[in-house]
Amino acid sequence: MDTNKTVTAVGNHPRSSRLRRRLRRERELWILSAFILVWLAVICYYPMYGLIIAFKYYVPGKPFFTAKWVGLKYFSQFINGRDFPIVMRNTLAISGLNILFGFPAPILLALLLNELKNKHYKSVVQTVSYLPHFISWVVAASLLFSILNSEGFLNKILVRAGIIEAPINWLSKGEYFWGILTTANIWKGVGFSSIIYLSAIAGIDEELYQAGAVDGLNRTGSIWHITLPGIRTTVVLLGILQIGSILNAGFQQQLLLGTTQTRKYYEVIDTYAYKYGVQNNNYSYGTAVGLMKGVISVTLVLLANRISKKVMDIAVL
Amino acid sequence: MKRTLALVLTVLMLLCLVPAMAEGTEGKVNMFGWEIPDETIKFTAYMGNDNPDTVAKYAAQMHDYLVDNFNVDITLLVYDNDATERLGMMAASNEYPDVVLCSIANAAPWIEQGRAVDLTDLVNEENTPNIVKRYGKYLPRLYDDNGRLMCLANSWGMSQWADYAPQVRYDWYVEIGEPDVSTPEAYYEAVKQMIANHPENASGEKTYAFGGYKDSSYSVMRTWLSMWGIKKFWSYDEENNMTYWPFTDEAMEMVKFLNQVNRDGLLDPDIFSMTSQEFGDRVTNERYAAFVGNWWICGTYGHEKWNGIYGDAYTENMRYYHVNVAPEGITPTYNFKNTNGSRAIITDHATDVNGILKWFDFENTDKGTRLVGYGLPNEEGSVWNVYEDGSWEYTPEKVAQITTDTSTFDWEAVQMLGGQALYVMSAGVEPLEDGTYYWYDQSNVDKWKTIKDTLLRPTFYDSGAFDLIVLPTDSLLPATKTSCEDIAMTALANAIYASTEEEAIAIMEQCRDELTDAGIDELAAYYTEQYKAIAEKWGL
Repeated sequence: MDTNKTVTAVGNHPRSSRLRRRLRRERELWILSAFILVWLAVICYYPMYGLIIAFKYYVPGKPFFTAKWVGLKYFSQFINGRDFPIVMRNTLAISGLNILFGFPAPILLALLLNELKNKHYKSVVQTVSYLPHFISWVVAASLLFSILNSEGFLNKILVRAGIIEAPINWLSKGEYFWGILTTANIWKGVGFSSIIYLSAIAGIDEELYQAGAVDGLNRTGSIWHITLPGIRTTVVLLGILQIGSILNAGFQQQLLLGTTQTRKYYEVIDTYAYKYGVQNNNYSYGTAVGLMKGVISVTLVLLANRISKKVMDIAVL
Repeated sequence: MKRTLALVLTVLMLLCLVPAMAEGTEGKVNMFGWEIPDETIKFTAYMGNDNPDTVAKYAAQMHDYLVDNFNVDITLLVYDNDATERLGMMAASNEYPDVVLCSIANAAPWIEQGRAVDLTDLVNEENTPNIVKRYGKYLPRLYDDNGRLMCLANSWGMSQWADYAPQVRYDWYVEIGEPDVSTPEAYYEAVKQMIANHPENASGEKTYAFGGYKDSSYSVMRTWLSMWGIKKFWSYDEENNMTYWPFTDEAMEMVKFLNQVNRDGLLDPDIFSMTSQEFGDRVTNERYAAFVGNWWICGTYGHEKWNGIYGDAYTENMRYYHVNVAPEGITPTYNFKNTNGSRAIITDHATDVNGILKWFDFENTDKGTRLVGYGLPNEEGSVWNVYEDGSWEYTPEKVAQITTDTSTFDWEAVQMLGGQALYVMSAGVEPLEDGTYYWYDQSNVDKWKTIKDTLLRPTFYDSGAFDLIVLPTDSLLPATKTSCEDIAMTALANAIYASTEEEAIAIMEQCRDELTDAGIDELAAYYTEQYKAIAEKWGL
């Protein structure tokens, strides 16, 4: 017994000492991070104790801990509810389209912007592409209505061009809703999201391009063999995070662009949780739906991270 | 002698002091009949969802006036997020004001949690005579099953004005000789004639029979259904058994009617997606021959705008005029009157419950109701004046403006004086003794509104018993209700815009199946049971 204790003590000593030495060595970094770590703990982690209401029948105003325990009742209610298939379908479809088209769009824009040689023109294009990001969804929805309503700009063009015979009320047709939303999401986000790729491209060594030119690479070749591999880490990193938010299909845009007629196509997890949880005063139900979404998202991030590490040897965690 | 004189003087001085002291005890009564208290009555009140900056702007002058002339200091609180959400947060954080105004459903958990002051022993003829007198038969309805009075009401009572109505563009209607419009078919025929005369507006844009906008589609469709006698989306048989509207033949007739209007190309295709601003612009641009819904929508965007835009070319008949339309053998139910109003709770945070009740009691006097409804009197822009002898009158030039030339009526000035019912907390919409209300513009001063209200009075019904039903939050019923409303409205919108009548009928039949799957039978059973119980209690 004594021998064991001695072994443990001796074995622990160098480890704690190593930790102390490391903390001393990295003290500036820890001091710099201290504020954000405290912020993270207080703002992001401390309120999580409230998640317990997902397992209780919580009435606002009464203490969490005295509320009646209902276990997985609300999770089961959501999964077995008649709206579950529609809500999940819409969430995955809208997110899937956002990933399929919305994820590569800023990469493409960044590559194109990088190829522009006229600096003034490039900065004008960049600024214009960022602008939609700063427009609120309320204003964006109003703009889209004026373009897409039965008397809107799009109908006028299509009718005059003979592509359609009669105007279509695009916002009232469920079958067009996902496409309209994906387009709107790309329009709003493509410019701003391209910034991070532009900065990654700026970090690529210029000599690689010169060497490529000597070896006979044209513009397309340079993009394919130098630029894309150069930003591969950034692309994978953002890709993993994007997969983690696959259940974040939007909220405001659905409420603003969705109509009574397109409800079966716009209702996603967040709008559902708001409507059935917050607006029905059933916070437990809303929290259960939100918690389930969070758990799935974290699982997906871990899974994507693992796959990426195995296949490409790039990982976030 | 000196002693006698001193004694006489002392006695005289004492005699003079007695009335002075008595006056101090009784307090001064102002021209509104309010006995000014020695101690300031100070409280905060949550008034619901609104823009805080706008309300602060409109409340400022009235606030100061009440402090100076009533010794009452009221702080109105509004927030720009959903009221249900806000009340939940208030309760969860235990931070809430002295008075909370909220819906009946939202009041229930506050009362259940003991956050409402029990008013049972405080509201009586001695303590609050004006509340007892003015609430009248509606006061007993506020008591719970245990005989407790846990709240008062806001906007309670049976108003005599029509909120919802079918309307026609009046000058176009006069142009075709004012034909009979008493049935949906006759109404539509008249509207078609009007459109035949005015197929386009001055800018060459197509005109429609009917319109609406996204946020109003719920109330617009409710009004359409009430043309066929359906009450707030429910139909009642003679024994008060309730049926949800898609399961009724009347609703199917309504769907077929609107589907026909759509197939005739006369229904605005953007009703369910248009913003209120876009719809307002289309009304102002003379795109509609008729409308079914809230009276004020087409008034605000119609004649009030045209009056200003057209100047001398404007005629009084350029407006939407209200008509009463119903299929044969059906009594329309356009105007439901929630006689319960909403709830006014004095919370357990209130430190001066008696003071608040004193104010509420004053609010229920004639002058009190007018003050909180019309705003400050005797100021520039005031719609009424009160005189030192207690008499009052409507400001003559304001009456002239609101009757004939509403575009010049300065609503902003009225609101700046705390008018338009900004401070209403416990007052009702029941007419005052002289038949007027706390809504200035509804107080029989506008002849057009008088025509509307008189014409549509037969369509009024008391929805108080239905509005009192609260779904238990620990059950699936609230979710079922939301789900059923969504299913039914989606089906209705799609059926109206279906390309054939058969398709419209098929959509509604599928809707019935979906509603059954969603649990409409349980919901209907619960509503029926509760409704019957309340009806029995109230002796309806």
